[in-house]
Amino acid sequence: MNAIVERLRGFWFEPAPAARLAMLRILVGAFVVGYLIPQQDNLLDVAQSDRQLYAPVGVVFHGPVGVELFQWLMRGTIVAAVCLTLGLWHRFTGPVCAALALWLFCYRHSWNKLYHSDNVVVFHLIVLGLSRSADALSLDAWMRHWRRPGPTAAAPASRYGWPVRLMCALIVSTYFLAAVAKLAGPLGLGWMSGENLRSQMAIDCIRKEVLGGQPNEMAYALYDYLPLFTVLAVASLSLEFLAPVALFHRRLGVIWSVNTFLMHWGIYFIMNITFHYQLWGLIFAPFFRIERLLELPRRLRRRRAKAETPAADGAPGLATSPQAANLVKG
Amino acid sequence: MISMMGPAGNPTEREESALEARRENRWGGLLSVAMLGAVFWPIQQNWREDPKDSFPLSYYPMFSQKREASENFYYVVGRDAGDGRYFIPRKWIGPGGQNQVRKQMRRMIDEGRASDLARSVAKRLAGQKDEPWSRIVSVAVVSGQYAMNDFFHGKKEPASEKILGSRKVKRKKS
Repeated sequence: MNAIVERLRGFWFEPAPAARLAMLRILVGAFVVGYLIPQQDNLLDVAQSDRQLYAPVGVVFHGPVGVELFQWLMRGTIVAAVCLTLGLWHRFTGPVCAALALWLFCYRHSWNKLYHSDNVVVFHLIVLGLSRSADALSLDAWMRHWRRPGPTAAAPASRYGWPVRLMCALIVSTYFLAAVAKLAGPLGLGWMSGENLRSQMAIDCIRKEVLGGQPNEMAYALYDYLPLFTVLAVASLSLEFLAPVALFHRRLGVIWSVNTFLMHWGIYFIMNITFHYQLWGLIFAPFFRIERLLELPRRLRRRRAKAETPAADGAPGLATSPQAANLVKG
Repeated sequence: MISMMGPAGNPTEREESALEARRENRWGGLLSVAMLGAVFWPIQQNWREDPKDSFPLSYYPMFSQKREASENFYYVVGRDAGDGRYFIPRKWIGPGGQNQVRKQMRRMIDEGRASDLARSVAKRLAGQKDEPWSRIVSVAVVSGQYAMNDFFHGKKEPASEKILGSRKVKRKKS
């Protein structure tokens, strides 16, 4: 038993570079800023809906708030998200951003419609806000270095590893729960026949049309191909149900992420449903060594430098490849 | 000796750093257990008679409902003086995206407020100057039954339709 606990501990608290968590902070924070800024009018409209439609969810235990207060809280969330992205005064702004975003998203969902694509964004913000995600690539780190010059790179540590692991676990948990809901639902395994998925697409299409939207041409083109929906249903349920496996092996995590990312694009093309966080691929970023993106410019420079050196390599005695050596010998 | 002490410096610093790491791991463990426990908590809704979804803790029931060959839809229909029929776009029904408008409309209908909804849509349309909305003389909140196979094979009319509330569009004479 102790050995299992130790293995689990070793797995969960595996050291990771500070830059990985920092990159996640920047990506998720920038996404939230880019998502909220253009949504302000829409959020304001929703917050001014008929009060009788109000049904608070999550951390919202109060009645509707005044429009002015809502605007302040919305702007405060955006400012806090900007601070999180920049890593500015993270010990304070991180938790504040997590709390404000949690409230704002809950309040937005308190008007009789739940958007299941927003859940993971909020979970990720909470993890990033409550962990040491600003130890690198942040204004805090820059100011620390400015006050006390010294080595800047923080050594890989478990404090940067567990938040990434938790972010991955939260992702796979939500997909797994979606699979359980389908299997525990009235259709059970029969959901994989694809008929229900096709009906879902058809209903979505009719709903759009009766609410004055444009007909979804893709839905009309695909409706008669039931076997296609069977394949899609089997594939999507498998991806959801087997999601937890992705947590335990890095490569499996990458493969699962790519396939699930493609699934979301499939949903977008067939049903025109936009899950922004998923379609941008940002939800899957914790499964990748994204800190390597930082090395990309240096690698490109090195490759370019290598490509420019053959003239020097061509000199006798400097041949590096066997063919070149033969040429020199010849 | 120095190399054995590693980057943390002298033994006291090393101990402090180990202590801090332990403290942070304890926090990490607590937060992980709390968050994952919370995320999995709603799973029980799957086996409840009257399951309730929430945010951000959800049991993710989307796409799991059983769908029938024929389904009921709520929408708003406008008519012009020549009895021409138009689906009223959601932007005049309520704020938010398609699903939000649909859910809000459904709730109002369930609460017996279809006429209120028709009145608010008629009021919004009264100010419209663009065709064809400027020609609409009345709006009706309806419940329509659509057969999916028929709909996708060209028969776009509902199998049945019931008016739940209606209102005339009153325009100011210019």
